Amino acid sequence: MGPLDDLPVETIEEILLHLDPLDVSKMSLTCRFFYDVIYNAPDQHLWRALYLAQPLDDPTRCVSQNGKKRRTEVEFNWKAELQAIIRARTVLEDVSICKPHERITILRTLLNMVSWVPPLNSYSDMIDNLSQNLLYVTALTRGGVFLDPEKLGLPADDPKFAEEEAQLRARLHTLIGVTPSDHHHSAHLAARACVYLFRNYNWGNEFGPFLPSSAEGGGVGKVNWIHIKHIHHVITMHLIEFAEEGQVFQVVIYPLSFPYTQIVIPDGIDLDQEEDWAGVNGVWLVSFCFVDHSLLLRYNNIVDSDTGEPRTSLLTGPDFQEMFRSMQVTLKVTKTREDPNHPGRPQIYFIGVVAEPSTSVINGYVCMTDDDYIRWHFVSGEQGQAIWSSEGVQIGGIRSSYGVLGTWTTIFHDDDDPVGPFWLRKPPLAVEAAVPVNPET
Amino acid sequence: MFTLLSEDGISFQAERDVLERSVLLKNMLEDVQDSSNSIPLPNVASAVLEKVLHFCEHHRGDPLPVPEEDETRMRKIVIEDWDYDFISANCDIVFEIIMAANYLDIKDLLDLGCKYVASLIKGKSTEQIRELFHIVNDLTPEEEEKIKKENQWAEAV
Repeated sequence: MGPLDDLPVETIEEILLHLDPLDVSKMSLTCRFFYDVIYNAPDQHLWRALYLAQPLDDPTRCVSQNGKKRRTEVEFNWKAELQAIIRARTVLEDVSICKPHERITILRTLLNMVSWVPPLNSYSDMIDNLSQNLLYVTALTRGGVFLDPEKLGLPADDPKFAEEEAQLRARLHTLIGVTPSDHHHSAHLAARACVYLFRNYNWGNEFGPFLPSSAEGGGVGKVNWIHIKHIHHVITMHLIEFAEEGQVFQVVIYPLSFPYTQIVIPDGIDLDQEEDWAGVNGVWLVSFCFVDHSLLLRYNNIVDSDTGEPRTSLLTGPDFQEMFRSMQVTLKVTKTREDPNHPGRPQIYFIGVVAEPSTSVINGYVCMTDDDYIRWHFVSGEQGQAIWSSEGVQIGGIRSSYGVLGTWTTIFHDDDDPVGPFWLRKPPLAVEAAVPVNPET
Repeated sequence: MFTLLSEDGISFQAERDVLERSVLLKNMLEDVQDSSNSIPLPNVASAVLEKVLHFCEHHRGDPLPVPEEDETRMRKIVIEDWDYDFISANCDIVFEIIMAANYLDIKDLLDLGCKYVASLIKGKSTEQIRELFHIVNDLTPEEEEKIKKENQWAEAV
């Protein structure tokens, strides 16, 4: 074989572009010439081309979950981004090599990939413009890799990162859908135990899936993704058949999983100018779960208004019953108010009517949280009497078909108020059925 | 018929549609009607030119590869059977073929050569790549240590 480095540099780069980035790394270690070609080029054209040669979305076409373009003055670091993605890929192929301090970085890389995707025009646009990043991360995490505790097999991390890591993992899990460990009985129980626990609803989190703000004056600060993940699980139990223990796990694509998180920006709409940037106007379908109130009281173990340890065993077994109801509601924006912390994303107030035969009316608002998620709050009731109060979070990108997950309770916020999860989404024109996908393909 | 003259003075005859696989020759032949003069190719040895013409003859009449909208997107890594047999049978002069394809501007042959070389590199260790291409490691131990650090993202540990 002749001397490879006699070839013109452009031809050598052409060869490198046919390689996996891991092979390119190996090449850079062979000698000074190749090191310089790969790492000491005057610009990032090689790394840009390498990045674009991967089955990933073109970053210049991507927007954030909130529909913001990358700031043009900050150049996309092709080399650093690609290296982080390839490292995440390597770790997810063999999690045993993951260093404890690295777990948060990997989770951030994966979340970054699924948070920056090209927008769809409409739900049906998904067939032609499905995000490559979403497919990539779905494939990497298939079978629950990096999400299910038993598949981690990692040493415990520094406890000061444990909470952050758990939040990141729960967020990724919610976006992906179900993992093998979700099929375990214990996962069903843990989800119900969280969602139906009175203690998880208080003034600190404004009776929703939020974390109390650390700032002076209270209020909600951030989204509590662990809570959201459990809401997701409880709703999911009414949407898909969970595999029996011991059955082979199959990745399930359904409306509460990838790729339904992909942001939707209809043609001709500038979200920064659009009053109804969240897509509130229109027909929605709201589904909610509830259990018998006396069971709820017994589970929460309220005796003379003192709460004892919850009796989780009551949330399982043949006697446990959970209702799942859906109704159609038409929402209409009434006014907006500028949010100084979120230019171009004003707080949207809306009213709504529930379809016949119900006489319910709804009013509420949509606003951005401190950590830049989309919060939904609404109150509903019969005949002008407000009764129910709901708090939710839009999952995935703005207007994604995945919709809003949250919890409902009453406006009275008494200690023994009923609680339950809800799911609000704009039903796609054609109802998509859950399609099992073989994880090996 | 046109006549090509290799670096080492051997002449080859080929028809216009074969030679037009090469953008360089296509441009040269644009204004030439007859084949009285041979075309000298001072950069291509006869052993290589023979193979290049063999490739062009096989692909005569194929649509010429058109530059894609963005050439960097999602390269096809599939090599067709005939092309694979051709390039692997000539693997000892693959770099010369690549150079000739580059000089003569024969895009599909250049592409084939690059893909083939890439396929040889795939999955090999640094040491195996050095052996394959007779690359002399001219890095000092200190430099090697520094480059290893820079490549930590790619390590499977």
